[in-house]
Amino acid sequence: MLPDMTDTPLREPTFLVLTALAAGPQHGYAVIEDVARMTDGRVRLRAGTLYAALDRLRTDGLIEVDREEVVQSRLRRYYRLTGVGEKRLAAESSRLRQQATLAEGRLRARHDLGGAPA
Amino acid sequence: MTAPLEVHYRRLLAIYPAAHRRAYEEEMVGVLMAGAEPGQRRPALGEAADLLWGGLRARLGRGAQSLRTSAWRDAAAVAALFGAVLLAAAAGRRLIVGLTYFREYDDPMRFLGIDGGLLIDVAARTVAWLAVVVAVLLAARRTAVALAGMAVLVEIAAIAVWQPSQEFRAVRMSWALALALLTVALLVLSRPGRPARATLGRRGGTLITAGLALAAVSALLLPWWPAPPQILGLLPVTDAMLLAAGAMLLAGLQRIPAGTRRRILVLLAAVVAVPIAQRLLEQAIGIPLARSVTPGIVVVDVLLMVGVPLLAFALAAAVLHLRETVRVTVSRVPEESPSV
Repeated sequence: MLPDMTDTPLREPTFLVLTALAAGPQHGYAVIEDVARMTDGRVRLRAGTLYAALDRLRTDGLIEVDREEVVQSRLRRYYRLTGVGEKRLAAESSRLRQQATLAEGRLRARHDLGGAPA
Repeated sequence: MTAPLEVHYRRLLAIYPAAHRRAYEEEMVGVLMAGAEPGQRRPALGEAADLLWGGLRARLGRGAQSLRTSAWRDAAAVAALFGAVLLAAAAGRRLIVGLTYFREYDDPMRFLGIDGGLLIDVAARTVAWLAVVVAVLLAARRTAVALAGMAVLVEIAAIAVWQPSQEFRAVRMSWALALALLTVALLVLSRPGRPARATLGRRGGTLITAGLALAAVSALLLPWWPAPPQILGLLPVTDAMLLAAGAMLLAGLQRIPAGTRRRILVLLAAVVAVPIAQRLLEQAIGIPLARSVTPGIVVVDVLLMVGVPLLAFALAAAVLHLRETVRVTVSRVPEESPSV
């Protein structure tokens, strides 16, 4: 449905939320924990940041609500990646990979030439 | 019984707009409470700041950022298409009128050896904007922006070549330049969104194309049809055709999802305001009476050309805002009671 949003890079929280949901549907708090685990605790999403990302991703059709549950009288809404979201995440990870490869190549060349500053 | 921490969190969440709270408040409270330390009574400072920031962004950011949401971007592509069609039609109509005149009375420039010289500018403008229309329809977004930029240059050149012989040329053609710039802006805004054709959908697109074609035909018929037949002695055929064209356009728009459709109408308000601004401008300065272009006239020109479309946009956007928030306020009432 949204074919052409691939030219703007994803922000890190957004990227991580999509990555978390790529493993399967998760509710909000599970996404926070998953992101913390994936990044070895470097990124701990806060609720405001998480829901800003979830809301935008839903509006753009990259994720959708999978199901809702009430656990200990708390609403838990599970989100899942849509087909569009999957494509967007794939496009973003290949973009990041390309950049990383580029940077690594340059760094290697720099060392091979002995170009590093003394 | 509600834990004091939850009360604090709900107070912080009140900063979010009602629509956001309706969608996410319960869920967010769940997440916040799940992340709380045992025995915690107050939100951590960082958490509170993040909620305040998120709420402010959702609330205030809506104004500035909402223009970049997908519904606005999709709408901008459609409004840009209308702008380009309008510019192509305006120049195309003059081209056709001119060519008909030449056929009947011969080209007045022919004896100077410049065949068709009087129509080069309108022909160039017609071609330039038709190219933009085609690029928008083919969803070639970068090309559309580039072509529209070139079309702006063509408009400027079309004003410049006549300026020496017609002092009021730039004033009379202000609308074309203003609309051209507005169209470029809309195209730039729409670039990351969906192409106009996808937003309009197949049937919507067909209806709108048919409506535009009918409007174009009736607009071209008008000058050559001094006494068009009346339907039931009430309505001239040409007016009936224009009405039918309008109905088709509305029916086509009706097929677009409501959020995007409303935004299209808001943006079209600015597009349509440009020719109205031109009329206001010509009334304000009274071109037939004015002797020369004074600095005052230039100031009025720029003010009207920028101000009127901006005002139309602001008013239409305010109506949109009211419409979309009123619906939210209504559903807010039952949500408030069970919470605290």
